[in-house]
Amino acid sequence: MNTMKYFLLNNWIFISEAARLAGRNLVASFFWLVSAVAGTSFAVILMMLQTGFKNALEDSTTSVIDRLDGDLFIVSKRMYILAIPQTFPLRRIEAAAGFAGVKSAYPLMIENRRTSWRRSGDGVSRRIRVIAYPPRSDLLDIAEVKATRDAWSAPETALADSLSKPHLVGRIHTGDVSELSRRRLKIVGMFSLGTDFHNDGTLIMSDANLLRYVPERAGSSRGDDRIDIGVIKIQPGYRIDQIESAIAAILPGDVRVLSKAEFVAKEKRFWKRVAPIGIVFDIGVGVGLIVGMAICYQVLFAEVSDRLAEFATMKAIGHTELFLGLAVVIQALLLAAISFAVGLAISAGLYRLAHAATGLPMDMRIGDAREILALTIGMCSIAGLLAASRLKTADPAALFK
Amino acid sequence: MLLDPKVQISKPPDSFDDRLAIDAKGIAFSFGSGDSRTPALRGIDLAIERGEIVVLTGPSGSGKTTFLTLAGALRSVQEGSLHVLGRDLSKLSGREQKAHRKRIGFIFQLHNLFGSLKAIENVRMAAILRPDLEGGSIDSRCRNLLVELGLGDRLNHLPARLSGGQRQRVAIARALVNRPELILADEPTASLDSESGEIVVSLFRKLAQGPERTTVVIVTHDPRLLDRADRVVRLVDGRVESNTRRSRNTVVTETDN
Ligand SMILES: Nc1ncnc2c1ncn2[C@@H]1O[C@H](COP(=O)(O)OP(=O)(O)OP(=O)(O)O)[C@@H](O)[C@H]1O
Ligand SMILES: [Mg+2]
Repeated sequence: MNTMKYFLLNNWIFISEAARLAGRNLVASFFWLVSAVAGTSFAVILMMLQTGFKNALEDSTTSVIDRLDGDLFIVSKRMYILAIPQTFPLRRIEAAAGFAGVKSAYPLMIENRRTSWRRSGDGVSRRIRVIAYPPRSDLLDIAEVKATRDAWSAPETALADSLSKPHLVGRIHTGDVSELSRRRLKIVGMFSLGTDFHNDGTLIMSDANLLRYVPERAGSSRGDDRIDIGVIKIQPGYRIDQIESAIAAILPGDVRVLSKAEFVAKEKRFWKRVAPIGIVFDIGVGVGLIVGMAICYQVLFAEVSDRLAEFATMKAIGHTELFLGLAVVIQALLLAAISFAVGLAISAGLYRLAHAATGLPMDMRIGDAREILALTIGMCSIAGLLAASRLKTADPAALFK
Repeated sequence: MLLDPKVQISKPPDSFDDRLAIDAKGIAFSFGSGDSRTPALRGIDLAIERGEIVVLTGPSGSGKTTFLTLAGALRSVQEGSLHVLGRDLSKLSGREQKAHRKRIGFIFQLHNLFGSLKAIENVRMAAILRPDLEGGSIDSRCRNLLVELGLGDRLNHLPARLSGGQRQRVAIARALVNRPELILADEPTASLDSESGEIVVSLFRKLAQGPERTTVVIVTHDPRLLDRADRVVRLVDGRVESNTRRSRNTVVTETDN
């Protein structure tokens, strides 16, 4: 019991003394500290940005689905991702509308191939995504869109996404009058939705309006109009899964019905399995980690080398390499903590800039920040351990000349 | 203990004259091997009693520093037998060497203080190796010693804000704070003015004559120290040329080459 107490007391002295030495060495040279933190936080920022873009990729693919105010969705059987629309006749959702428990069934169209917006500044036309649906249906749960419903119900009017990429589709403002697919269009309001890796900007207009700009979508009768998604709302008190299977049973084979969770999962699955672009960003994080480790090792190695005679003196008076190594590793951990904080702050600013410039959803997530903190700590401690191995070369005998 | 090499303070098992701090017999030591082999010591016989202050002099390259590093267990003995503070150094493992060093106070020509640590913190780095020592807390031991060395008003200064002599005195405090049984010093007073040199020598004297009977071996050319030593040993070309007890001014041994 007593030896245990002595053991703890003794080691506590060593641990706190190593920490003190680490802290003092960390701030001893302002220049060293600034360059060490700059290098290490650079790696943190690199990892943060890679993760941010990876999330943006994943989030942006479902940003429209996330905002759709519906319980069940009818989509074409051939549709594998929303970014590449596959249409089906409007008639299919009319069949679903008659079911007991179905409150409403509305058509939603997404057009991004045949619609191009003429930039007001230089007159260059750029492809732009147009989302169209009956204004009174409030299918998109975006406050500005719902509030301006009457304005964009009029012919040849639309709302524009303020997060559209300005360098591609130009800056769009309320009141702008230009052309969509060579036909006059007036912007009567703005909203914010954001872009994705497929679409550089978005307009919202009524379904009737879209058929004016893309007449190819209109069928010989209303039931033959080509739509992309049927959005179904269920009355309270009904079970969504029961209605889902009931609708599925009567729908012809060219369409299928999905719950919101299934719709989102299907979209994510594509980006994960079929086009795993996320791996590119994971590799980016890996590169950041290696760069960070190299930088961190460099600065710590230089630090140990500069103080080699001092460390050798400590060895001569009886300190162990483990004690001195502990001081180096603690210094590495302190460096990790400061660099992470600095990197996090700068990344938050860069996320905002990137969001403003690209319209991609760039959100800092607690889980990701925690993961990058762990990577930073790991990276710095390994660099610290490697740098500490330099202590082996500190020869106390060489101190006597 | 992970961070602290155990100090072996119990009585050593070797049969050995306990009045001797250093007992060297036929010590030879060479640097390098093959063609580049340089003999530094060529057979040193030297017995130093506990409580003695011995000055080691001799021309440059005569092996003084090499002898200190051997006695301090900073290098391993190659030839001959070397007992220091009752232990046969040739029989110590690396770990035991480290523990043995905690009984020794080293004073280097270069002070090698941590530039990032205040004066008292530099001393503290050594003091934590012996938290069991009597004479107050770790911090008060450090403070008292620095005060004694005339640095009472410089406790919280960084080395960069101290003069060369003050830095050297901090390094001396660091070597003495654990009350070593043996002090090995290489040119300790080179950067000291006569007043602080005197303070240091008086402290050595006090330690040597105190109850601990600290032994002090100083490599120096400083004539002020020659006069204050109990004994002056002169090395030439790796051998003891003369070994003179100063107090009685008698020659203990003399070998001529
Ligand atoms: N690390 C080393 N490697 C090789 N040879 C060495 C080394 N250290 C010392 N020597 C050689 O050993 C011999 C003794 O050197 P030592 O340092 O013991 O001399 P010294 O008496 O302390 O000299 P000084 O008064 O100049 O300090 C010299 O010939 C020196 O060149
Ligand atoms: Mg020398």
